[in-house]
Amino acid sequence: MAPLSREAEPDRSPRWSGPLLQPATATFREFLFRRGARILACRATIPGGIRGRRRDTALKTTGFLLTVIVANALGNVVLGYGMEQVGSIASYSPAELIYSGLQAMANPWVLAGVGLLLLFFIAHAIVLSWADLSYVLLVTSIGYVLVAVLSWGFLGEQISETRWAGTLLVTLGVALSGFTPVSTVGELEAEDES
Amino acid sequence: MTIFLLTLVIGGTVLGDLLKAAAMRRLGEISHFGPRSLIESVTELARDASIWLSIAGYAVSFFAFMALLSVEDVSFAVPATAGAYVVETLLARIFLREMISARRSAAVVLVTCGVVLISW
Repeated sequence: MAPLSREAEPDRSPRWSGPLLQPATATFREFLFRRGARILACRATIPGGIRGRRRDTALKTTGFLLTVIVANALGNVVLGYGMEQVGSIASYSPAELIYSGLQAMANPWVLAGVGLLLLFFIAHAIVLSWADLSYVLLVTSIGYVLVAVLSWGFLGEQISETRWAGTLLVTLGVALSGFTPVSTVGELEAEDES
Repeated sequence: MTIFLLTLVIGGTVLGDLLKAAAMRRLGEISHFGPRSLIESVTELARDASIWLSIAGYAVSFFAFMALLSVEDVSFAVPATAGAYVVETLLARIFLREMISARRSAAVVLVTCGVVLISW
């Protein structure tokens, strides 16, 4: 049986041995081949190619922004409710603050509130790894609207006309920021260069 | 005292957000969300001093806000802190080199005015 050796195989890669002008065409052909291979590899690894990647990023951004908004709003409400049960802090001395903090952590609502705010912090950090801070800041401000609508719908609170006007302005601002790109990193440098 | 506390609230939040965004950008886009990948990212992030300074900024902002509430009404404290939107957007343009288009600037103005009206 013949030994299976890669070194023994003849080199079949195209080599040019013609006139001097031709290698440029060969290089160009090689360039096209490499580019085509890269595009094919890209399509093979990312479902739907570049468009698929954009869609994935958009879905990822929406999911994490929703987590940020809901975890922040719920976390504040739940923590507030828990702190009401714990009662006000009598003294602000360091020892008393630590004791009150530990006492508060024994309350399940406080614990749930802290957990939700921790989730908010992590989701906010993750989304900032690819999105602009100015974009995230604007879109997450819809949390103000969410709290206003929830307190009106579920807690039966009266919302003044001024507050409704504010809700409308925030919603318009968030909608407008939705028409701006999620990330503009590098665009400013490109503009400076041009 | 009020101006000092308000500066601490806005300054702490802005510093916290900017340093966190800078640290996350250095870390790079997180695209794998398995436990192992996330633990690796958290370990790498914990080595970045910016993230600890960011947490310190948030802590200063939180305690300053509590102190502000003890000397001022909520109806003043919350709308006043909405100024952070404008300051943060401007600093994101300068330090994070983000592109603030006319549309995004208009959105900042709308959101800031809206937050002031909601909290009034």
